[in-house]
Amino acid sequence: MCKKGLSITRIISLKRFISLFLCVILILSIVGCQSSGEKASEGEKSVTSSAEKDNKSNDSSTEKTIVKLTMLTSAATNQPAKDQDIILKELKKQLMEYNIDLDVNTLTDYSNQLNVRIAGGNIPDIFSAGKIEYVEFAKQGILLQLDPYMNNLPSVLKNYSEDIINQAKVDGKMYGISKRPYVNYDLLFVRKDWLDKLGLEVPKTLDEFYNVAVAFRENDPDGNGQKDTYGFSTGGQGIRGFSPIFGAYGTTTPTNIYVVDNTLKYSTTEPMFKEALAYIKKFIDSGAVDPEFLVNTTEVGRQKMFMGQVGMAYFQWSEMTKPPFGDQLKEADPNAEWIYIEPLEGPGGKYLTSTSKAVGSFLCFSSALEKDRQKLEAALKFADLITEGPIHNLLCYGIENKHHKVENGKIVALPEIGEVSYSWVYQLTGRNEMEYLIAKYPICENEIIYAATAPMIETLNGYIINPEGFNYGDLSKYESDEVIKFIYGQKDFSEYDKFIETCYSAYNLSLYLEEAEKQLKQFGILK
Amino acid sequence: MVRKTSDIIFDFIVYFSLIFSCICILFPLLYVVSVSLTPYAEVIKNGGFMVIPRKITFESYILFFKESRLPRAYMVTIFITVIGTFLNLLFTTTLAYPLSRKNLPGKNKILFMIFFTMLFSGGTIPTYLVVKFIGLLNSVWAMIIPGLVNTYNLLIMKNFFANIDESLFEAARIDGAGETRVLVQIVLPLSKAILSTIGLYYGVAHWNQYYSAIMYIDDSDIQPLQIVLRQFLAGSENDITKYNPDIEVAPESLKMTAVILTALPVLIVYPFLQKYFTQGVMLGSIKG
Repeated sequence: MCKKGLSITRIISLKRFISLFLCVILILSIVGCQSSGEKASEGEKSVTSSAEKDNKSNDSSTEKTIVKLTMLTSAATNQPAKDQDIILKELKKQLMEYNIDLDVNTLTDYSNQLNVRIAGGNIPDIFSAGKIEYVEFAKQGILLQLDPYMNNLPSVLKNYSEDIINQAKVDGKMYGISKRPYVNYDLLFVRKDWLDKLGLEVPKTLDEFYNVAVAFRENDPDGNGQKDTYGFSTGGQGIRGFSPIFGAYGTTTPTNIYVVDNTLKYSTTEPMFKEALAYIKKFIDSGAVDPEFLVNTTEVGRQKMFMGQVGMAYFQWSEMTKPPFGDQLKEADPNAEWIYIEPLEGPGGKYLTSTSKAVGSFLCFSSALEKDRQKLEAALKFADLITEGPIHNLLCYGIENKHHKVENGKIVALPEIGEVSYSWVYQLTGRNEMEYLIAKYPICENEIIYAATAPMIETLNGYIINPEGFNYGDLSKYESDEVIKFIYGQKDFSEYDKFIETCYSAYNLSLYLEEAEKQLKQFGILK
Repeated sequence: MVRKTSDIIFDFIVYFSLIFSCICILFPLLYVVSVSLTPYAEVIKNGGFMVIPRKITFESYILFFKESRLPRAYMVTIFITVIGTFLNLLFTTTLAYPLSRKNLPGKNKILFMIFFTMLFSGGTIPTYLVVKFIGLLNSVWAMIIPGLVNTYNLLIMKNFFANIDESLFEAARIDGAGETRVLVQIVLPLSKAILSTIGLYYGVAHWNQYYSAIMYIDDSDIQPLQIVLRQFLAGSENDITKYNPDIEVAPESLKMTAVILTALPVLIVYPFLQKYFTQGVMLGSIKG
């Protein structure tokens, strides 16, 4: 009896304990949320009050308080520690003259890390975002709407073309500053010494290209008596490695939109595209293409070129002739002579590859800046400073007279510029690409100019904000998977129509094309 | 004793498969070592693949130690491994011990609450929010405190403690020992095996700490080794920077050096803890 009573009181006390415990947790969590919210608003108040104070003190004296800003961007492979980061130190020093105290953090797995921070409400004042994230953030109202403040950005207005500025518009409103886009770096390289050895001419047409590749495979161009060479390869490009062939057929790699004579074209559904695939299949069947063509990483592809395993390659000059690779090539084989060649001529014209002038990433501001006038102005000032002028030059070419010097108003890189090669991580608004590249890599000047100016098909996918119910990544993956099946003979071309049909039915291609047409008209690309 | 043919065949198969799997494990390691020691031009001349280096250079190792982020990353990782493992063990034992006692009121309910976290977790963003509100963001403690007690390790330890003979506790209590004294002077000395096993689990997890650093650490000055390693190996491969001609990918030898330097400490510690390791797991599972 007594025992039972004891256990009952024990149960009751346990139940009480648990319910009390749960209540405490509940209250704590609520209080926790509230207090943090209060804190934030208190913080704002204190900032505004300090701003008011500043205004008052501004009236009496010219003294200004220092504005703290936080910034997030992606890290470079060779990013140094903060206290050894010459560029960051100098940047902070120079920004101090504008009373801006910038706290920069660089992240490794940038887009994922940024997403978590934003979802967690931990939004940096200034950050960079890729196109897809940018549009998402803009729609969620996380980003500062820039339209009223465009006049605070004179360097941007001066250096940017209207097209590039306008690409930052989401639903007609500006939420960020476009990072000036890159240009094309891909070239078609051929080994001149092998051509000479086999008595061949530089290939000009698709047929000649085919013959040269087969000759490089069959006729032992390296003279070691073994059939160990391939005609054509690439690195890190996958199916894009075949771009010069698609270009000769007047089209591009799969899943691309381009405009010919004011009509919208979609590469995969073009008749010429199918013909290009037939050519590529024939080319692969000849055995002249590196069997690992699609899976070569940039390093592996380059290694194959340097080791004399391939005679022609679709490669970026920045991965091939830019230091230190140029010297490595000479060291590996002093006789090797690589030249870049003109686009191949084919039934569809003569295009080296496809390129895009679309902006891939944007400089964004947190919408919270709007509540703090002083911070907002500082952030805009920062964006303007990194777009043109001494600070822009610092982020591009390092410190004057240490990493670069100015001769007759032109910037000349000094050998020490190599130690700040990571400085691009801070170029959130980009740079004047051609001027920059030629100043920085004068040894590659010819390649830089040719790769950027060769005849190319301009793809327009980057302009388009994908409609709801359409997943570009899925379609792109499906198409390249199928295309690979066709060119490697795992699927017969009789099934090609079925493949196109699936693109429309299962992946909603028509929705995308309609939307693309509408949006390109808004940009004035289609009339 | 005469050995039967079948025994010999059996031994042969066993030895063969063991030696074969040994080679499978050692060969990539050897490759990593030799690439890290060979100049790039030499690699190319040898067809891009070599096992025994002919020319040796320590250039990439020297480069690595000049690399400003590495020493700091080492310090961070050593800190979270040493302090983190100590705290892990402290909190895991002090939770496991009471739970292993049969007379603890509400034991099953507490156990259920703990076990529940094995089945359901709060998810990435809520966890991030918790860490944020506690004020751990951008602090080394964010890599230690959120995973202070691992449920799985806790259950192993609890079961081990539960298997210690009850009479030992009774004897201690008769001698006037309180719970703390029982834990420190009776239970812990008997549990060296499980402590080193669990300690190793925790230690290796801390050494390989990546996820919490990715989540909670912005400041590059307190990023642990694995983050720096990833940056070397993969660069920042995202669409923002994909076609940037400024990107410099670390040469293969430097990548391999990074792999060696990060794997080496664990490789060295492992054999010394291994005897406890096997012993510990066996004791935990079989006895009782």
